[in-house]
Amino acid sequence: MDDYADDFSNWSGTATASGSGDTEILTVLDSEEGISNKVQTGAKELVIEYDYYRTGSGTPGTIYYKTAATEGALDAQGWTLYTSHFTSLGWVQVRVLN
Amino acid sequence: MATKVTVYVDPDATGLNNGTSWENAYTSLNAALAAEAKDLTASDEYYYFECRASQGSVDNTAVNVTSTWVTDDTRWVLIRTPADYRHKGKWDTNTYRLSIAGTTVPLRISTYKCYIQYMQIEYTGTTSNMYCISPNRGGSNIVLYVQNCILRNTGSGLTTCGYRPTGYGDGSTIYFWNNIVYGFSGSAGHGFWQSDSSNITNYLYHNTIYDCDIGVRIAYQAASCRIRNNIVNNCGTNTYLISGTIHADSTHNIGDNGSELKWGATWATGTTNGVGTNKLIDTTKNFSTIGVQFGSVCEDSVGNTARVTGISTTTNPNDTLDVSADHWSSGEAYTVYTNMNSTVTFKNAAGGDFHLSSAEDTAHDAGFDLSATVLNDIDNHTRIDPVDVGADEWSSSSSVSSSSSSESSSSVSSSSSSSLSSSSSSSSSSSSSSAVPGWIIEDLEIRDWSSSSSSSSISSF
Repeated sequence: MDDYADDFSNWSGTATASGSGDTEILTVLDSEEGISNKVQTGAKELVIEYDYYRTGSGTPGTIYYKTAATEGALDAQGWTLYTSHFTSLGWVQVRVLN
Repeated sequence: MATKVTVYVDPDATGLNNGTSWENAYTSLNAALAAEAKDLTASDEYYYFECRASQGSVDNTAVNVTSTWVTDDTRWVLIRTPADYRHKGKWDTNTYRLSIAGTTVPLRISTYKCYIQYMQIEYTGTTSNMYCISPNRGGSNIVLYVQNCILRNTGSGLTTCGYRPTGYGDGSTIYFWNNIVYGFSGSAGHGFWQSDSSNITNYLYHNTIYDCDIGVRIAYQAASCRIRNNIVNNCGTNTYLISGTIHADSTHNIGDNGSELKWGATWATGTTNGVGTNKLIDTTKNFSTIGVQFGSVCEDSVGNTARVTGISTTTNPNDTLDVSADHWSSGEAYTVYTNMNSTVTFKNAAGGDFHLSSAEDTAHDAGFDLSATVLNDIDNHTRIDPVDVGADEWSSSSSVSSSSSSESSSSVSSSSSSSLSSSSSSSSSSSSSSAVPGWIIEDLEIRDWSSSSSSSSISSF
């Protein structure tokens, strides 16, 4: 059960969301990016996974994340390249880049 | 969860003028902002104002994001030109531009949080004290992002500015990234002027500022101002005019007046222990390992400056800086700054094209790595470490020539560190166009690592 669920259509950035519901996808063309909403995760160790339920396509790009203790503090944080699990300070935002 | 609302602006639209689609777009940004203004904290919404000019017409109505827009950290106003209609790093008369000739500041912002992205804003009139972007919120703080914009002045007013606040509040934060600012060359014209004494944090990253009377002026709150990876060239009275001690994270800026670059972080300080013509010798140092770069500004004990033209060896490896002027005797104090003195070679500065030339040998690959924060450049090309200084990340795909032999930046040391080495890989320093259709993500999950094999999803998209 998801504690939080949202649509790609609410992401910001140049990537394009299309479809809806279970068939919604995010298309990240060359040099495009998508930025998630800010998510309150609690302070814990997290992983980011994509295409967990369905199979995406194309050449995977790069995932970045930022974390901060408060939602308001996220903006001042820089993006960190996601490579494996990381420690959330309470709030997390994700960015995908192709 | 706040709801996204998109409002369309197109000066060439002929539809219902209600902003619900490109066909029915508002014909001026200010009309759109005035008609839609509301308390976003009450409606739980955030607004995207998407601007284009489908037939190339200008929007010549001054814009005011008034305080009727009540915003907070998550419910804000974003004004931008969307990807398909953006400038390409140079003023483009076929895309959306806000062009003001009258007596009203082109873009005034009086709400708490606002993003301005990929916009072209100019002042063309004769009135003084016109600022392309001006926060004005009195005693309340503000969070403002100005990113990937081109701000220019083609008029004749005095004290015109690319950015100048006319009213801040304590606690304000300004992110001024990847902008090209030029032509504010009349008396007291500024590219970026921090002219308010409120407690403000400024992040000036990766801007190119050219042909202003004063390029960057920090008159107050220098200790809270980070200035990194900017180019300021061809200015009149001052390139950088910093009052007070700048934040220690201020590094890797380029100007063309060495005496105005003696601020920010340093590579090294010490006392020379040798002498040679146009040499700065300290045999206790390895300047290459330290990170000293081509163009780095060196200051002697009485304030004279020179720029690094190479690194050589007197006694120990890389213990000698070759410099552009003969200021140092043995036993004299010196400081080597991370800022660099260089007249940057742009593709066509006179024509308003501030992309880096392939022949540019200082700005290429010479920046502090902010690629995890400032991901892209003015053209939306990916920043790749070592990043270039200024708004443009040089790309072979945007260069006239891709001849590798002419693309490398000069190395100042044959055994140089990465920060000094030639950019042999510069041809791949930006993403190139690709036939790959893109990366299609079907779902994205943030999961608890300790139970990632189970269905413990914290967030799904």
